[in-house]
Amino acid sequence: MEGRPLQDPELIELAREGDVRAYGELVERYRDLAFRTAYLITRSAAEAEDAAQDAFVKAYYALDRFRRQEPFRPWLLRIVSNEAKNRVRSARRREGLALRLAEGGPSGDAGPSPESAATARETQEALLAALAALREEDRLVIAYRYLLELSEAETAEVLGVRPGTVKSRLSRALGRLRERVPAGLALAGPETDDA
Amino acid sequence: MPELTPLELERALAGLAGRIEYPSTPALAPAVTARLAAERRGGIRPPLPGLALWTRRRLLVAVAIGLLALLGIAAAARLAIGALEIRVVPTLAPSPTVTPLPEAIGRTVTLGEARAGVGFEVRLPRGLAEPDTVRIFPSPFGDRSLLLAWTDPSLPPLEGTPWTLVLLELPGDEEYAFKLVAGEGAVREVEVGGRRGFWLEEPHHLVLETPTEVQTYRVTGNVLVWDAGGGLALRMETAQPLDEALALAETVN
Repeated sequence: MEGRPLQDPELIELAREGDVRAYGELVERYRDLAFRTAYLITRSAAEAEDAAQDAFVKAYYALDRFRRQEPFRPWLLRIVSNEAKNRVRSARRREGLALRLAEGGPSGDAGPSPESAATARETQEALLAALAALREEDRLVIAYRYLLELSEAETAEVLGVRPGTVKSRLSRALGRLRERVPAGLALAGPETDDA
Repeated sequence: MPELTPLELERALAGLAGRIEYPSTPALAPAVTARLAAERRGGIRPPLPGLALWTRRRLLVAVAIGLLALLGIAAAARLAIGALEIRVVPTLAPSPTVTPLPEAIGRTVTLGEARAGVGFEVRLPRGLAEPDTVRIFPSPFGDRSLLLAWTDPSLPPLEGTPWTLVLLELPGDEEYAFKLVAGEGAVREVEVGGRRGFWLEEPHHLVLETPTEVQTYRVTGNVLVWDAGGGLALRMETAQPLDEALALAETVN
């Protein structure tokens, strides 16, 4: 039957009634975010896959505890985050965060020159390296806010802290990140200030 | 050249969001739905999430509750804050557990270990020294909960214990801590820092569920439970009256 895609609350209600296919749609909708959240914590694609899969299964069986008026995404990501952290604790293994930049430049109205694109890439790679070297608490709050683009409230929910704490924690983490970024790097952001 | 300003750093980070090359996301939906279907076929878990909770977990709690209060499950009211639920029951039977709570649950850790080991920000009352006892215990859902106890002599003693204050920090949305109180009059709704809370003055029972067991405690002190935000429920046991307990709770962060 043709029609508009079902919204999260509708899919959740169907899943609560035992409709596994409806739950599969929710999984499909959030799989990228769940996997990336787990990956940022476990730093391993295989562990992240297991953590995300287990988290989706746990979330299914916990659906009747989910409050209908609340957004599904942060609730789910909290379960994913717990699952991923438990795996890290069990494995007692620390791998380097192997984030890489995608090939090609950022999309925009005007393409940068090859030279400025190379400089921007250099800056972003230096930022990623500095980010990977931060301690977990700093790394995750920055990654949730800027790499996964979660809101402050969502970040608070996933970290299990208050929104005010996210602000202060993020501020401290950015300060420590700045200290690690080599001086003299060219700015590479979504907007630039024209001189 | 100067280093990046805070604003430039934030812009640069914002520019990274769409540029990261993550490992490709596996096809999770078929794997998850296949697992759910297989568990249903194999009878490992029931088909409905709500039923699963009853059969897999809450039945255990219901048995414990039933033993304590013969007609308890037919409670008139259900009040919940995150992981903590208050059940109003007609009568309380004597509790089978006599060991004071801080000695009976989880394992002792240092405050530093607790901070590193729980997945949330540990909350402490301002103006008190560090707790004398810190114990960590698991919930059935993978969260790590915390029990903190003080012998601070500036607070009135809790009857029958060496402590003057006991604080439970319970993360998560799914209930694994239950308070059984006799009669609705025993529960008073309050606010702590603008968030919902409940005050219990009469003796009641606390049922704590871990992955392996259900423990029941008889509580004689006054108890304040409240929503601390960020998915954390706090439970403070004290011999103080309500106004002093609220003032102390307002400092917990």
